[in-house]
Amino acid sequence: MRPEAEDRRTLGVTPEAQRHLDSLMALEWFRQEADVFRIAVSVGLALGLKKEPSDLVGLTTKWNVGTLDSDGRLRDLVRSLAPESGEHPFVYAELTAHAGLEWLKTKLVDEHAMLSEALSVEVD
Amino acid sequence: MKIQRLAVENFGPFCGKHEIDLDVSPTAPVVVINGENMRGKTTLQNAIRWCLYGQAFGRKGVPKPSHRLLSYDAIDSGQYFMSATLEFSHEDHDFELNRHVESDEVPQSDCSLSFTTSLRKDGHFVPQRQITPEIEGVLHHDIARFFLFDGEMLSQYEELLDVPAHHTEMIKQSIEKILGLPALQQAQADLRMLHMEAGQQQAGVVRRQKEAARLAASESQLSNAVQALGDDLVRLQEIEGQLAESRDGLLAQRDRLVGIEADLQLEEQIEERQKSAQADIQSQRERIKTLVQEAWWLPAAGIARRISGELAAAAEEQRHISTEITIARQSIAQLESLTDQAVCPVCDQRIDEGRKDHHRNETEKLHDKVRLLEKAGSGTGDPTRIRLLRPFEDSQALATITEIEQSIRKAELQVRRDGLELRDVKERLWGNRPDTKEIQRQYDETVTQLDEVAKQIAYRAQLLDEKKSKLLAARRRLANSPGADPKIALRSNVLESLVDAFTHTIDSFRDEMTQIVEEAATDIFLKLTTEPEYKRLEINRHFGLDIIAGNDRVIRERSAGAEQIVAFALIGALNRSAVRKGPIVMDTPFGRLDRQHRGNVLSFIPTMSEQVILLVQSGEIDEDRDLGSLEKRISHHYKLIRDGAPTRSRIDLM
Repeated sequence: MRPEAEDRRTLGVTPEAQRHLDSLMALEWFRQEADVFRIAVSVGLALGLKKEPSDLVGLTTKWNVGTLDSDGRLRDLVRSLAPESGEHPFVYAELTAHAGLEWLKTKLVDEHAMLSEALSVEVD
Repeated sequence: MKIQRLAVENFGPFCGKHEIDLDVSPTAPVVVINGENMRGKTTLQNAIRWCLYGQAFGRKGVPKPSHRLLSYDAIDSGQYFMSATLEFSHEDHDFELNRHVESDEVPQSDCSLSFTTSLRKDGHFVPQRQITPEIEGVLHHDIARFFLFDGEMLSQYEELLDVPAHHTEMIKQSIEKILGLPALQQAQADLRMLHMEAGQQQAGVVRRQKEAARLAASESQLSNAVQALGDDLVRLQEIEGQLAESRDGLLAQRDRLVGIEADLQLEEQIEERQKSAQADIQSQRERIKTLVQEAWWLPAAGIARRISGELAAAAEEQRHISTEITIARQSIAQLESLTDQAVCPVCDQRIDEGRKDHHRNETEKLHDKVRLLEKAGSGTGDPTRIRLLRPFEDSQALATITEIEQSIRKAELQVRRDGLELRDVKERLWGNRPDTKEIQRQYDETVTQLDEVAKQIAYRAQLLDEKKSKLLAARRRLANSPGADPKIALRSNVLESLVDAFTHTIDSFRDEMTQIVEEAATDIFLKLTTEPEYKRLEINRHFGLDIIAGNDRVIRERSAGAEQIVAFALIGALNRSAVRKGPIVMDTPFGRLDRQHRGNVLSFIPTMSEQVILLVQSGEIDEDRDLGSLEKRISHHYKLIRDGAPTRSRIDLM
């Protein structure tokens, strides 16, 4: 994990992840980018996908943690599925979200998969 | 009229010069011209029509401009001219009619064409102004519909049953023309005129006598009134004719727009459907957005369930181990107690050393088991994690999302299909969007004006009748007055009687001809129909024909084939009863007929006229099967063949 003493208070995306977000939003399945981001975290956790901190170059802040996870469920999901996230669930969420966004873009945009197919990730 | 030869140059698919011998003998009056679609059958019929009347028709009887008849290949090779020549005989005279058009450049409309027509009668050129009357005298264009027709046109005759229908009056007049009624009507009009002149003459004579001056003045006033009313009537009838022509034109325009209108409606329907489908898709997408927003954890639901299940199983296992440890510890306590005592507290028996050793061993084993169990149960079920995972296990929303998404995909597919259909419809409509509402408005307005004019005509006709009666009475008084000229009086009386006689004759002739046509049509119909239940045809005043079955039952539902048979019967009957005889040129006439009806019509064809030219395609007639029985009645058999390019044909003798 990131050697930071405190967890993240804001979350952001790299330019590449922003492009993925744009192409996913264009599919008109999602109301807000935050929805896609949360789904991407969920995908990353389900498939065990996670970027390395060194991969996240040029991050642009997009959300406050309080806005993105107003009910605390995103933190709960990360903690329960990735106990190794320890005291830094949002750092972990940001890393899984970037991997999840890449996967979602490939699946939905490039392979034209059904949304329901992408949402029903099955782990072997 | 009998056609001997047709020659065309650069006409339709016939690029260059082409000739066709159409002369027939009394025993073999049929000419057969076979040709597949696009090979030029309709063009040959149009060549005859165009040569005779300078007019050609496209599909559904829509007039075709002359520049559109010019061969594409001729245009490509820089030849901007075409011609048609018809050699025919009529009442012991030989005719050669030639019509020619040309242009200096690729013709875009008939305005850029220069037309030349020449007619030779028995080798001598007929003056230009006489050409049209001469042709109309041979075969008037109003009755050409009974000689030059195609399968499509046959359906027009069904309309004669609907009174009043827009074409019925026109067709009825054509029929009366072919039957010779206008000659009688003309004679009646001439007699009326002569009678009127005699009356005016007598009035002139009497006016010179002083005592009869008053009578003459009265006659003169009435005569002027009759003349004025007659003029009014003629003028109104002219207006009525123009309005009727305009109405028919608008109606024909509207009829031609039926297909376009259907496309316009279809376009509107598809666009409406697409709009509604897109709104539906949008609303379904909004539902998905809401579901996805609320259940964003769905991708992790599966793994959440799995981990939660594993944690629950671990907790259960831990509970089980705890129980086993408790039991083992209780057993250890009991055994240790027994080892420390000399007498068993339950049975009061002495416990020997061998038994105590056994208890010690058992106690040791139980300690080992407890150690092992404690080691195995050191993991935890982690109830906090299980509680945290519980909300994310629910994937019910996924089923709803799947269902909505499938419905969206289906709707999008339909929208795409509709889009393709819409594209086709728009292509068909491209540059062809007439204002159908405006045409309908003009039509309605014209019909209203026509009704108004008809009322005025009826009113004036009634007034005219009254004035005429008064005029007749005045003339009788004049004729009997002392100053009247007895010769003029006699002439006037004779002319009056003749007008009455002709009026009566015209009505009788019309009734008689109707009866003759009905009998002839019935005779032909019974030969052509394959339905034994049909007994006869019944004619109405508009020459519409009803099929009458046994028990005098009128057959209301008629198939397209039956309709065609009735039309053949009417045309055959009219040709039998006609004062003018001419060649019958039929283009694709068997399209709607079954095999047996086709056989019946083919047997009937040689008796239809002194010359029958059949333009047929393989889809409606089989040369071996159908033409075998007709073989001896055929003078010439031609085939229209593709000549290199798809736009070129030639005529080969079979």
